Parts: sequence; C-alpha cells; structure tokens
Amino acid sequence: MSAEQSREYYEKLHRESVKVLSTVFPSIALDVCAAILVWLFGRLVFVPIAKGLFFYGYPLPQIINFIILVALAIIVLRVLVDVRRGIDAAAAYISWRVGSPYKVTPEEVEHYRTALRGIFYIIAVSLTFLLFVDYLSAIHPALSGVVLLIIVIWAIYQIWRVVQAVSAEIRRYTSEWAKRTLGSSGS
Amino acid sequence: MRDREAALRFIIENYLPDMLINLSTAILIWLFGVLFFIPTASSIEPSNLPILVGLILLVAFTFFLSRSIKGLLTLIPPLVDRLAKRIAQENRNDRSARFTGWRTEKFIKALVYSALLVAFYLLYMPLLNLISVQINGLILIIVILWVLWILLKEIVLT
Repeated sequence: MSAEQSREYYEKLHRESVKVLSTVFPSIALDVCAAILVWLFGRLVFVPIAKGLFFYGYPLPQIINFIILVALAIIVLRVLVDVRRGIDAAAAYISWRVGSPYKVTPEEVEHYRTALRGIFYIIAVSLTFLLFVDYLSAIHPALSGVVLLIIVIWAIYQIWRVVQAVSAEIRRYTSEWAKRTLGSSGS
Repeated sequence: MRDREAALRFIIENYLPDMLINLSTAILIWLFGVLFFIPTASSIEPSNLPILVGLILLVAFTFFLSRSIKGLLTLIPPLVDRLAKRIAQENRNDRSARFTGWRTEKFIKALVYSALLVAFYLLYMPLLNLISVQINGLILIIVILWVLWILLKEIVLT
C-alpha cells in the first residue's frame, strides 16, 4: 500500500465506522426495548392469565410460551443483524484508534473484527439464552440445561478463536515493547 | 550487562507472546465461566448442572493455564533479577549495602512466587468449591504449606 492509499484507507475507515455506529445504536435500542416489552408482557400478563386454560385440549400457557418464543426469536434475529453491523464498525473504529496515523492495514482491522465479533457473540448468545431460559424450561426442564452446556463449550471455543485472532497483534506489540524498554541491542 | 539485556529480550520476544495468549484465554474462560455460566447454571438447576459446567470450565481453564506456565516460569527469574538489581542499586548508600542485592533478590523471588501461587489458588477456588468443598480445603492446606516452604527456603534458611 502506498502512503496515499494508506492515508485514504485510514480516513475512510474512520468516516464509515462513525457513520455506521451512529445509525446502528438507535436501531438496536428500539429492538431491545421491544424484546423486553414482549418478554415482560408474556411472563407477567399473558402466561399468568392463561394458567389453567386449555385450547382444544392443549394447555394454553404452553401455546402462549411458544408464540412468545417465536416473537422473541424474530426480534433477537433483527438485533443480531444490527449488532453484527455495529461490531464491524466498532472493530474498524478500534483499529483506527489503536493504529498510529496511516499505519492501519486491512488484516489488522480483520483481526480486531474477528476478536470483537467473538466476544460480542458470546455476550449476545448469553443474553439471548437468559431471555429464553424460562420458556425452554417450560417446554422441558432438561432443555435449558442441555442448551447451557452446549453454550459453555461453544463459548470456550469462541474465546480461543478471539485470542488467536489478536495473537499477531500481541506478538507485534510485545516485540515493540521489548525493543523500547530494553533497547535494540542483542538478537 | 549487554549480554544479559539481550538474553532478557530474547526470552521476552520468544516466551511472553505465547504466555500472554494462553493466559488471556484462560482468564477470559474464567471470567465468563465464574461470572456468568456458573450463576446461570445454579439458577436453572442448583444441584448437578453447576458441577457439570464447573468441570468443563475447570478442564479448559487448566489446559490454557498449563500452556502459559512454561513461559511464566522462564520469564519470572530474569525479570525478578532485573527488578532486584534495580532496587539494590537504589539502596546502594545503605549501610548493609553488600547484603542488599542478594537479600532483595531472594525476598522479591519469594514474594513473586508466593503471590503467583496464591493468585492461581484464588482463580481455582470458585471452580473447586463447586465440585467439592473438601478437595478445595485440602488444596488450600497444600497451598499454605507450599507458600511457607517458599518463604522459609528463600528468606529464612539461606
């Protein structure tokens, strides 16, 4: 990359990341509010009202649980799409902040993007699980436990991927730090 | 002096990155596990699920921590040596100057190893407590004896 291209890439990175972040946050906030409202109404109003009622022989609370689950799943999917866009922009913004002026490479942005995506995915999946745990338990008591075990194993794999993604940066910064603190003598 | 700096730089460049990578993986697993997954498991089913989750986390945490131990054990002696020499140089005007360097090095070495041992135990404690309180107690006894041995060996007996 020439100096002019690096400069252009650096400025484009900042411009686009700020633009995406400013549009994505309100959208995520609205969807999260909608999900919380659906969850609250379902748990505190509709399910208690339906207790003891049957719909063509089927217990109504379980049917309502299922409907709320579907509604929450749709909202959560919308949030996840927005969060993914937000993460990409945040990764670009972080590499813009961390990299010295005009020294950011596309690979570095990609590393930060993978790392941030991993952490946000773990948080997003954990929060989504919390939102669904009562409904999963209502369908079958063991279901939420099995899902949690799967999430734990997946989260460990994600954490390993996150750290591997930024390992090149860790190596580079460690080497630079060693040069700075111990001088450039030696091997 | 120059050779020692070069050796330290070689160790830092070759061991520190891998140590940091494995240690940060272990710490992230610990953070997510102890602060989120174990409380969630306890709220879903308080008797068996936390033990299962704790076991999975314990295995993963131990795996990454053990991979960082080699780097940690290689890095600590030269860093302690450097730190001790710097402190000894600052205390050069002291009356007991000819013993200061030697004593400081031993003292700092004992302090760093004991602190590491206690820190590792504190990291393991919430996971061990889930599996068995008795095993946790036995390991605590071993850690206390080990710390006492380090302090005796490095400070009192030499």
